Amino acid sequence: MNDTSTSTDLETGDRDSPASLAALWIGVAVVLVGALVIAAVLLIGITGATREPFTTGEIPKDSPLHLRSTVRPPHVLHLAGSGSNLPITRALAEAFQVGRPDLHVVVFASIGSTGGVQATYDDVIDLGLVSRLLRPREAALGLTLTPYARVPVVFAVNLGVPDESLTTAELLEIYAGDRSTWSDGTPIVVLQRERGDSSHAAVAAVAPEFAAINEQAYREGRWRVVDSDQAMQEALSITPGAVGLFDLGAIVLQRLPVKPLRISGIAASEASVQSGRYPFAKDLAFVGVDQPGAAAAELLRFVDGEDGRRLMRASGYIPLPEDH
Amino acid sequence: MSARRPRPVQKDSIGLRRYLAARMLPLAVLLAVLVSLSAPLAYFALTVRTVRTRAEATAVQVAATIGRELQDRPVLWRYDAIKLLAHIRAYTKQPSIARIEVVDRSGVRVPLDDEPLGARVALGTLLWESAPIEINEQVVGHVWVGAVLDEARAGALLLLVPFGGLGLGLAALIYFIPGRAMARAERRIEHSQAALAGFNRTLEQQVAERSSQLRAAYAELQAKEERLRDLSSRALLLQEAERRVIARELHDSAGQALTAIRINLQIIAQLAEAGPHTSEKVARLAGRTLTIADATLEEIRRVVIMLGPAILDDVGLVAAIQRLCDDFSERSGGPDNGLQIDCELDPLPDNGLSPALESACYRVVQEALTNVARHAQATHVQVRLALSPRKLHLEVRDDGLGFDPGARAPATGTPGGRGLVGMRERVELLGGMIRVDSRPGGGTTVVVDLPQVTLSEDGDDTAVVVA
Repeated sequence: MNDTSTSTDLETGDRDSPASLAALWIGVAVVLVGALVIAAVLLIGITGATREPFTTGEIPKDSPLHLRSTVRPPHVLHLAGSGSNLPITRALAEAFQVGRPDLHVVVFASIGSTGGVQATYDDVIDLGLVSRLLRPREAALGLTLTPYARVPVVFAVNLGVPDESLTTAELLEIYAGDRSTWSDGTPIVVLQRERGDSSHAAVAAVAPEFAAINEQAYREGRWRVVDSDQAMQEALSITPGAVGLFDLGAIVLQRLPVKPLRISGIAASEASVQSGRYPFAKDLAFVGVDQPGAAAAELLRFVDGEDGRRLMRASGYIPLPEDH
Repeated sequence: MSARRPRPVQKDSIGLRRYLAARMLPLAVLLAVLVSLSAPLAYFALTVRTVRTRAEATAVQVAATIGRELQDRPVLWRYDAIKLLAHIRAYTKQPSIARIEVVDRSGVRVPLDDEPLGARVALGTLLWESAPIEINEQVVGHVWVGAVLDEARAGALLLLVPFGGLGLGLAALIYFIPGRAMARAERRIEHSQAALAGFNRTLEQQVAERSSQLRAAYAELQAKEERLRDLSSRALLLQEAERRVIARELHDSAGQALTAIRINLQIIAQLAEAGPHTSEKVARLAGRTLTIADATLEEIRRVVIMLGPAILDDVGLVAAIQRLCDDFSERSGGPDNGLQIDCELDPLPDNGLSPALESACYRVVQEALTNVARHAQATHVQVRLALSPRKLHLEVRDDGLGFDPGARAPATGTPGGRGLVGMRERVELLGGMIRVDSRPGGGTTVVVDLPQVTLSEDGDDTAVVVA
């Protein structure tokens, strides 16, 4: 009897359960919806507008960012492009102007081979300086490529590095991170150039695995990357144990305090490069329109002439074309 | 329209676990959702904030660099922008930075990079942050840095797995642990209810037993009350009968005798006045009158003895019983040839006993000895009277023939005969108890216990004494 009474009481107490249970579910749903709404509002506030905040079209001519050509007098030549070309090109321009006081050649700071090609195409400069082959998109612009020098690409090291010669395999180990010290135990500091650098391309052309190793190092952020010849030469000069790709001509011409390594005992030189015993080299070229101006044409003739070729040889460059 | 089926009631379960589970389920769902989403959402929000900060910092850095380039190389700056942007991207090492765009102050994009940084643009919508490009404190354009939220999304989704598991785990805990505890409590309650039911059943049995005992006690009390009323009634009847007997005796004996004596005395007076010749008649008549007076005195003495043991007033209970025993012993031929009666009597207290108590004791001893003399053929009788502060104990034991207490006396139809009935009535009127132990050939023992209290509230036990 008591059991029945107890059960009856509980059943009586449960009579309002469906209503209270529904209210509880509704409360939970309200809380969830409210939390989601608040979260959505906060996220929208945090992410903000995602539409592209600009348009495409013509830039107003009065804008400092407007693309414009420079007004160049006929006796002034503007040259710009790859940093690899700058030392020898400036030397050539200086020599060129010695007997031509009425002509002025301005060699701007590096804007890269790509910038040199584009600036030439945009008629911003008279001659572009490139240290690599033209890419298909650049070749399609209808510009004329005039190679004028070949420069050995060397693995330059800080003067404190005791090693004088390494094999290609050893250099690949260094760039792959498998070898971390020089012969005296000092740590190796690898300096990379940015992607697309002409020196890297010159080495990769001979040793394809170098490209893969370089790319892996880029992805892993393994080495410090410098984006100009100027930055590379400064870093090599002051960083103990540093090694990086550099142009032999720039080292010789500028008497830089760095040391080019021999490859398997072969030093970079015109003879070793020409014979193929030294494997790494790249060609420097002018790029210009089909019919360059008189001053530009005269400069090209000077470079291709005896004085220019002599100067290049004296500076560690190999004049092109070889069969002159 | 079908009748609604009644919900089955589980009488063996009080339903606490089901009740709790129904209410814990929405809370568990709420907990699971909140725990699962809160950390991923917080991570996503913080990561987005970080990405925005990085994008803004990159934009500031690029804008500052481009501003310097613009001042140094107003024309050629844009041709080195590709390298510049690549360099910045390489150094910032921010995988979330997908695009860097230089925009003129009018909002038109400057097409510096035909191969934009963002091959990842297609992966999702970009989040844009900007910084102004200033030349001589004039804003000439903006650098917009577009960042992808893939990292934030991937991290949030990655966090969703463990926190989802955590939320589900916590929800399971909050759902099942109270349920299990409630199930244990439910079992304990059920056990307690079962024990309580058993206790109730036992209690009902006990109540029934107590009720039965109370009913029996009440019935016994009613019987005793009825018997007491009967005794009181009989005592009154006895008292009335006794008064009538006394009146009749006085009328028949003393009255008649006194009348005769008065007549004789009148005759004697007349004869004395008549002269000396009547002296002989006077003497004869005086002699008859003296005889009538003696007979009357004897009759009055008999009545007095019948009405009450006056000896109690004279010598007290102990001496009266002793004398009664001596008289019985002598009438039966003396201790040497007949009945030997031994008395063991405690002395009475100084203030004595109530008259009713003394009279009842005396009558019980008298009746017991009478029964011994009439029926027992005993040779030895022991009479013992013991007194305690609250009780009087009287015992008369003989070694006679004895009798069967269950057998009914032929004359009275009651066990023990009229003498025993009279003893029981006297004792019970005083609130005492009498017990007769006897068996054929084994002698008889009469045991009486009387309380030393008066029967009536005013201490007047006259009716009892008379009875």
